Amino acid sequence: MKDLVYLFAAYSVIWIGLFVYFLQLHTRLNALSRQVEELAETQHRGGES
Amino acid sequence: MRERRSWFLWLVGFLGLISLYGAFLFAPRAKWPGPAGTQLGEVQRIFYFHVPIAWVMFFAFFLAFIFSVLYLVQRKRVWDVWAVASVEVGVLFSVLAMITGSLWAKPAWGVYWTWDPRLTTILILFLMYVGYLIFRGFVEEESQQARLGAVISILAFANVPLTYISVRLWRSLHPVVFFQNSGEKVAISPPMLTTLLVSILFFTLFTLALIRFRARVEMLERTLLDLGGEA
Repeated sequence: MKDLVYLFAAYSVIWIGLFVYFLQLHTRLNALSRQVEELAETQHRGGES
Repeated sequence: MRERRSWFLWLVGFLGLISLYGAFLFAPRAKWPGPAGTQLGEVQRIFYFHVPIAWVMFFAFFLAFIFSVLYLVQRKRVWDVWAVASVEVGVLFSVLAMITGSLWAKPAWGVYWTWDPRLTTILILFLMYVGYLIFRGFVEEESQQARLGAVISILAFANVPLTYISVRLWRSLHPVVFFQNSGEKVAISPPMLTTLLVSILFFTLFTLALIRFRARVEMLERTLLDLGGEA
């Protein structure tokens, strides 16, 4: 039974670790994409005026 | 292009499911020795993910080494971006390799950590690459940062082959899976080997996708900085 606890812990650590990293990257990418859009919009407005 | 990427991600997902099936259902429980003459139980199945994770850690650091050399030769930003992405993913996998290794070591050796040659060299490797990420932060100017990073990455890579052969160079408790001419040998049946190889393939492709994703974020951050944004 104790064996299964170690096995479960190891697989959980792997998947949770990878998921958290992926989520963090995804959040950063979304924030960056938003900034790029804002910057492009500002430049577009600047070009019009 | 987008279609090809989606096929690739489907393939990685499919291989991930096959690896899980192999690790828990297809591969038989190996009769590997545990502490004091006992046998390891189900915990032995950690092996199907621990070994591939250690492999992709080496692979990511190898890629970082190649990208660093390319940066020093060509001085192109893209190589530095890929090197940073590879190191960060390699560091993540080294943490996962140490944790899963410790969770194996406790039932197998009776302790979570011991100053075994393999464990010690992997810890040094991890600290060297964490140093890479920290030292980069000390330098403001991008080209200097990239140059310093490339030099550290190339120097740190010298520890990769040493970590790999440490179980053969010194007396080690760590099991030897491939090329078993020294160290603690373990018996691997054909279904076990098949499961391990599928898992290695899955983690290799997954790592490539993760590095690519991280490089995309890094490139976007730098482009924003160039444009005067706040990355």
